[in-house]
Amino acid sequence: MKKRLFALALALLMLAALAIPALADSTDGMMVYILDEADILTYNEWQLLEEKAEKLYAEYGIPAYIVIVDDYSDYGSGGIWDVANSIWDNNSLGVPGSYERADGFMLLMSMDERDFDNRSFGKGQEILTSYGQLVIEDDFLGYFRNDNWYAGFDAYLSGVEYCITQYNSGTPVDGDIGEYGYNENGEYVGTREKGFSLGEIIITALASLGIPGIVVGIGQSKMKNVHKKYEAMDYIVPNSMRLTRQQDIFTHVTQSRRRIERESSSGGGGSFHSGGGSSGHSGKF
Amino acid sequence: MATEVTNYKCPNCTGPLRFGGISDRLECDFCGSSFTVEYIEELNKDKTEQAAENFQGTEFTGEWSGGGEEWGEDGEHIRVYHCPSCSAELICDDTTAATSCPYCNNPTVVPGQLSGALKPDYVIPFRFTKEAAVAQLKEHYKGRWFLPKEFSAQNHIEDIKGVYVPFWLYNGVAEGDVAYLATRSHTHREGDYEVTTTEHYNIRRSGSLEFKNVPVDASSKMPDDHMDSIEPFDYSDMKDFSMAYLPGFLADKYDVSEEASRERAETRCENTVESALRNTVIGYESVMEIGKNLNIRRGSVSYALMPVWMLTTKYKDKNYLFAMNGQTGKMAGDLPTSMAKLWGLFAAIGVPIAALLTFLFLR
Repeated sequence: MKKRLFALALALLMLAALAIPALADSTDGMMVYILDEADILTYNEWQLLEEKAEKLYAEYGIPAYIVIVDDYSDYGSGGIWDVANSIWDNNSLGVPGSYERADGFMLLMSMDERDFDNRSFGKGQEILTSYGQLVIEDDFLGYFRNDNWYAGFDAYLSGVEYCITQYNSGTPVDGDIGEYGYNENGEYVGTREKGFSLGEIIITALASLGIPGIVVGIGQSKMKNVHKKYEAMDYIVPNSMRLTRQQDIFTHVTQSRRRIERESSSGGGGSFHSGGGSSGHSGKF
Repeated sequence: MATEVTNYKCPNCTGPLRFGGISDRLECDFCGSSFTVEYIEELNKDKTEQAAENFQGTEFTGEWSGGGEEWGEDGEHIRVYHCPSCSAELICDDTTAATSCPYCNNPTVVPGQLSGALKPDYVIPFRFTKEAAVAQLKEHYKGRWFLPKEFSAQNHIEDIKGVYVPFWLYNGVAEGDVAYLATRSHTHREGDYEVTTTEHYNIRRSGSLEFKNVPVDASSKMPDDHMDSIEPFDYSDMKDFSMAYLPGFLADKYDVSEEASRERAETRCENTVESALRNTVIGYESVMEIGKNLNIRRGSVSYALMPVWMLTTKYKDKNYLFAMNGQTGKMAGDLPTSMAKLWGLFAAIGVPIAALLTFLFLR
């Protein structure tokens, strides 16, 4: 089954026309929660994911959408954050609630540049927090980096469900995004996802072994002062050095060229945005 | 009885005389009198010459006259003398030139070992006493982080002896002709490229250095590395040889010939001239030696006795040997390491660094 632009437009149009957040009893073949404009899923995969998303909404009353496009800029102006808002608003996704925007979740994937936007709208912000977004990204981004799309989307839906159940049980998935290298403003400030980088391990090992090694070496060298002598500096007759030849002959020149590496402009861990009734984390996969 | 050994007695009380070191005089343990080296030398001239003559005329068989027992191959290196004070038999090896009688403790000299063709040219007298040598050893322990506490606390000096060690002193001129390849480079930027321009040079240096009194110990009993480590001696205090400097100390005649010792001295001189020539190649970022021709113009060779205190200590069934320059006090000797202290310090530095870096990196 080919899922082209018109199909997405049609599905969104229908949703908009019906003015309902999601269709609990979606018709077979109609994309309601999983909108695969980029055509990266097989029909069977899409169907399984659609059923899973439908079940999630039926069970918890808050929908989770996956929107997959070739290039997000075809769907609105601005960055992926703005386009995600446009898609959400223009297609009346989510369940209207007390927030400025309807409640729900959306994972927007833009395949050309491998961008993603992991978003919580309305009350969804309380359920899938910034920290929770990073937690579930830990699960699904790994699949995407290996182009394992189905497993990644399945992990996303499972992650959302986990956060909903935790929220409902009174222990929402929340914590310090600093663990993931973000500061309090949601700006990525570190390159580490978790634990030590290889460079840090090397620095730690070198410093914690090398510095005491040098100190111990100095101490140990004081224990041994018996050495054979190989020079006779003490026995040179003063001013007896006679330099009879001192030639420095220039022979040739060689040149080597090395390209100066420019510093990479890639930011690393992506960025957080919030405001207007939604919050999300976007980056590369 | 004709004897090959002699001792120096106090002209006042006939007590044994010992060379006093710092006083530069021979001192009597009994009456406290002291005499100049020249005076005692003159006084004992005949006795010393007679003992030397007797030594030359004696055929050492390796038989111990007391027991008539064969010493086998070792007997070739055994000499049996009689103490001029108590007539006890002194069993020495064939290089011993001065010793003390184990029975009456009187200093005894074997002039025949150090006279005629075997007579040293020079001697540097002891300037440190036995007590000063022991104190210097204690000083040597200071500031050694890993020295086991028990080593210094329970340190028992097993043996301490002042020895006049035979040395050959070589004079000569070391000549060198060395070729190097050297480079000098500078870097500039051209657009997106860093361009490094390297200038290459052929370098040649020839020259010579004169050396005086390069010492090589001429006793196979003395470890070369210990003797090298207590250098240098202060030659300004070097005296013409006299037997009168020996009483109270041990002395050996050389048993490594001047020819056999020469290579060590010449290698040191060659290395030094090579190093001196290298130091004249300046202003380059890299210098690589590609060829050399080193030569020694040999000069005179002297034979001298140098003062060395040899101290032996025992720790955990292992002997530790220390040598001290008897003139300057410079001490050489490897010390045992407490592995507990070593690893303790390693951990005391390494663990906080590791913890600090872990904290910083995981923040």
